[in-house]
Amino acid sequence: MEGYKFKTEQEAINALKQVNDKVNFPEGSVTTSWTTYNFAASNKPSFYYIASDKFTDTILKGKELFEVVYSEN
Amino acid sequence: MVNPINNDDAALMLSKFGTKYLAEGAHTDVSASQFVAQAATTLTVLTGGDAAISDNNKNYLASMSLGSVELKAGALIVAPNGESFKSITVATGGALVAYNSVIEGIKPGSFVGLLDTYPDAAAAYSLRRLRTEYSGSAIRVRRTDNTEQDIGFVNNELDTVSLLSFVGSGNGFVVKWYDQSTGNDMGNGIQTTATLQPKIVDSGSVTLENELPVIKFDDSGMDFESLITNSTVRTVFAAFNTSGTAEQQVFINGDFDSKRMQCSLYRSGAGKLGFASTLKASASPDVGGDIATGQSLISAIQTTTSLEGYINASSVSDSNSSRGGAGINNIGYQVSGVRHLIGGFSEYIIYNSDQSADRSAIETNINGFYSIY
Repeated sequence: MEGYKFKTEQEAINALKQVNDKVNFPEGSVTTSWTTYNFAASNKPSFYYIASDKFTDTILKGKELFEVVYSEN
Repeated sequence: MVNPINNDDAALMLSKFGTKYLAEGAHTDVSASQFVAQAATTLTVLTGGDAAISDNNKNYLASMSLGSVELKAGALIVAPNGESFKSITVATGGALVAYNSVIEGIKPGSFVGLLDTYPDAAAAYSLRRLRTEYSGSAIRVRRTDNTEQDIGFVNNELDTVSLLSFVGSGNGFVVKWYDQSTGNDMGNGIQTTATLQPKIVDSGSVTLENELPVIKFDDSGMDFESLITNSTVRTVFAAFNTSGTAEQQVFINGDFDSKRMQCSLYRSGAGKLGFASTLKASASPDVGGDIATGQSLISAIQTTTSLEGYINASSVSDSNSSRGGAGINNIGYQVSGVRHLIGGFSEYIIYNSDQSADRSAIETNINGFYSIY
């Protein structure tokens, strides 16, 4: 997948905030975030990531192509 | 309900009855609150009954333009709530031709929702109304400027006119899928993250499956606000479609304590669907079967000792296992953000009870509306 990798959760949180600071959700909206981050727990080493999308790509830098290993459950 | 003009050739009917409109006695199963226009006519005055003719059930109208209210041959007017048509003035070409004197009657085919007949669902989501007394919306939609609006029903189906009016030529995303059950056990389906919200309008057009609205999931999914109460007995019905060939999550329902009932595609190979449950008290095999792309109705019933799966009302017994892993309620994706459903959902109903006795009838009801198989 294409996206943005982070070594720590805090880095992912900071990147997510950077994206959401550029979005205006009207008062009373159910939608509260533009995107989200996930944890690639089964990858070695594990990492956090945010998936690429057109809007996020305009804000974050360093997009790369990587695979997320699926857990077997 | 039979409209005689729709059943016979219009010319034949004109020959048979010789008038511009049918006498009451010539109607076939048409009750007194209905009016059948035999030729193209213009309804110029409507008194008595309900003046809000635009609210009439479209299923009984062959054609109607609401400005001049032009009726085409075979059109049938039905009062929305069974009101009497004390007087209807009909004209052709501006000339008054008749008064219809059909009065008193009851609206035919009064709405009966699936949950009216098969009540006590723990949760119920649909793009059609499922319960007569449900007065809420169907979905909440976000348009591309991030404004949101609730969209309800017209004639017990999704109000696509209001939906398109709100969304315009852009895309519309489902923020909430409202629970039409009594809402005791589970909340509304919700997705608060914009990029994960499934789509209901694509470039100004309502997303469709079998010509009916469908919520399209593609790298998206939906959680549920509150958790369904765990039950060792559970029945689930889902009208969904898939177009992808990768592993896909269809639904997981359960609690955070790893007790769950789940369904996924392709763990056992392309074209396979599997059900699994950790709620039953004793071990019994996971089940599954072959599934085609396109729309399917899947049903699953777990008891304390068994797990049964059905695809398009046929029992499946392959030992296909479902891919799961997340003990949370969602449809269309895993919480870890992988194996998204590439397809759509039209209806999703959960009972915390064994619906074996009514399973076939419920499947017939769902299939009767969506024409799945």
